[in-house]
Amino acid sequence: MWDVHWRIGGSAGTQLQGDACLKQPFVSHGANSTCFGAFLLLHITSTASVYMENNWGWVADHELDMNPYIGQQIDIYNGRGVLIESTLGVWLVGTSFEHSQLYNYQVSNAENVYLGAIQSETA
Amino acid sequence: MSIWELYNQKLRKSFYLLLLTVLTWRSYMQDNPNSISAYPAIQAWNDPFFDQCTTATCYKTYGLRIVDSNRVFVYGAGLYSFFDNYDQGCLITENCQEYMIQLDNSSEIYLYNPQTKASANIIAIDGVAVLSNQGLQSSFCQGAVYFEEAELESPPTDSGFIGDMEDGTE
Repeated sequence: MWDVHWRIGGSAGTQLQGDACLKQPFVSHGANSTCFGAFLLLHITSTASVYMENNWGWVADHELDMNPYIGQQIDIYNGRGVLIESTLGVWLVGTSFEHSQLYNYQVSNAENVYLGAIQSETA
Repeated sequence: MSIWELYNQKLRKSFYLLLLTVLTWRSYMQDNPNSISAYPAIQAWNDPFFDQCTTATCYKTYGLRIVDSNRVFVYGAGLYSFFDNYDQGCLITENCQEYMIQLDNSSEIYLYNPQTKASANIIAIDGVAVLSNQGLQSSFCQGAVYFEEAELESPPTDSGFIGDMEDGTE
């Protein structure tokens, strides 16, 4: 799988945008359920084997499309990035998973996993 | 050369505009709220429960967690934490969060050039920090050249190949 991009929120049609999900750093708050994204971005299951290259899973941290919020930071709550459970050989080459809540990369009950040039950013 | 440079060079050829947005804007709400507020950990999915946490900055996204797994090879990782509730003061002390790489109940894990940004501990094994970021400044990040957790959970009891390699005897 080459050149695939996930984008959660921050753009037209997602209903996860600046009008509802602007950051609120100056008040202590919980997670606004209006701004929930996905449970998990990518699940590589125990019976899978895959070669991936140049993939980017991005949970939006700022608005792209909606005025007057373009460029402003937003809080989108996405559960997890990529979950790898395969024992059959998995290769990730030049991938990035950013801004999920629990983890960006998790390798679980897996064997024979190659992760080359991975990048992540905390939510 | 950092992985950041390597990867973005790749991006630059195909996603030039997207690259600009990534480098220019980074949002970070945690720990307001924290990592388990929106999506509480689920045992059936082998999620991290953050059980070892005693401080607020411990409840943050793990960049890489390897659990119940064997033979995982990582060739270059850049795992970044830039904010604490959108405040970048933690970059001064490089401790925006406590843990970034978690190795739980796993073996034969080989990490080449794991680089982290502002995580007080680069690597923890079974919830215990084993590699602090102190003194490991490496340009933009803090990191190691190489780290391995090679211990087998059930070492062969006969005169197997691995045993011979480890103790140097026949």
